[in-house]
Amino acid sequence: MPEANLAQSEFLDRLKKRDDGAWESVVDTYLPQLLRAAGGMGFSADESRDMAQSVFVALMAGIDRFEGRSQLRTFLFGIFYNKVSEHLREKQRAEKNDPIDDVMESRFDRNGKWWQPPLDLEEQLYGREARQMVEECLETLPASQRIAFYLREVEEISTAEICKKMAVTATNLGVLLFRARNRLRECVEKKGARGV
Amino acid sequence: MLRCSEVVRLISSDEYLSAGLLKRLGIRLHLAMCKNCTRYLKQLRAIAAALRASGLNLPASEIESAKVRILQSLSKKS
Repeated sequence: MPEANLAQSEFLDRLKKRDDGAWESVVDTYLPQLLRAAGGMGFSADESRDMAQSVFVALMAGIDRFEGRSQLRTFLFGIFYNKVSEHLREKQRAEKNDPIDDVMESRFDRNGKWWQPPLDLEEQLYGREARQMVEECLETLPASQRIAFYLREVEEISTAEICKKMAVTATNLGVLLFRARNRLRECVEKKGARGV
Repeated sequence: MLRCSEVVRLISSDEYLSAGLLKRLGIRLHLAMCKNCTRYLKQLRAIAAALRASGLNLPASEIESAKVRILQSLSKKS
């Protein structure tokens, strides 16, 4: 269903009246997107489903406050991101020390020049297997790094917005992205080198 | 001249986005001359592109079973 229709006031009225058909089409439209986003952030299939369910329940509870000025998708994903950051707050704080920091330090000499330069992975990184390799490596990242990376690179949200959504400072987000990207790259390099 | 380790940190943390003009120019200059850092940057881009392309597609059956559960819980609330 086109987004424009969902924002129309008639449709919104049906949602506010708890019309079954209207709610079903909202679930049809947005459930795959929510599951994909949650999966991309590294939540398990069960966690993703529970999270999507709680988002729709919260949407129904809050639909009377929605005035249709923004897109329904924006409203819905706003609820979703709140759930994600709640989940994060419960789950963990950014760890002070992360082994990837030491790995990165060991890659450069005392003058800050590459000591162990990146390998030539031209073929492996652009091949068809690259996707699977990256997905596997993504699973090795801690949740907060995975989420930061996903929001930045897949959803392509600005760093300022991500700070708001994840309730972290700009400095913390920088640390999360640094660790996520370098851990991914190290992992891909290890896997890629094995494949050569 | 910026060091490789500094360029790598600025790029991978996205800190370069909020850096001043001089620093951003310094990064570009460094990249123009440094093969290793250029390769590093290309790899980061390729990794992100691979993830975007993967789409993380879910089986339709999984979506359907989630949908049924969600509609049930919604109809209880309404």
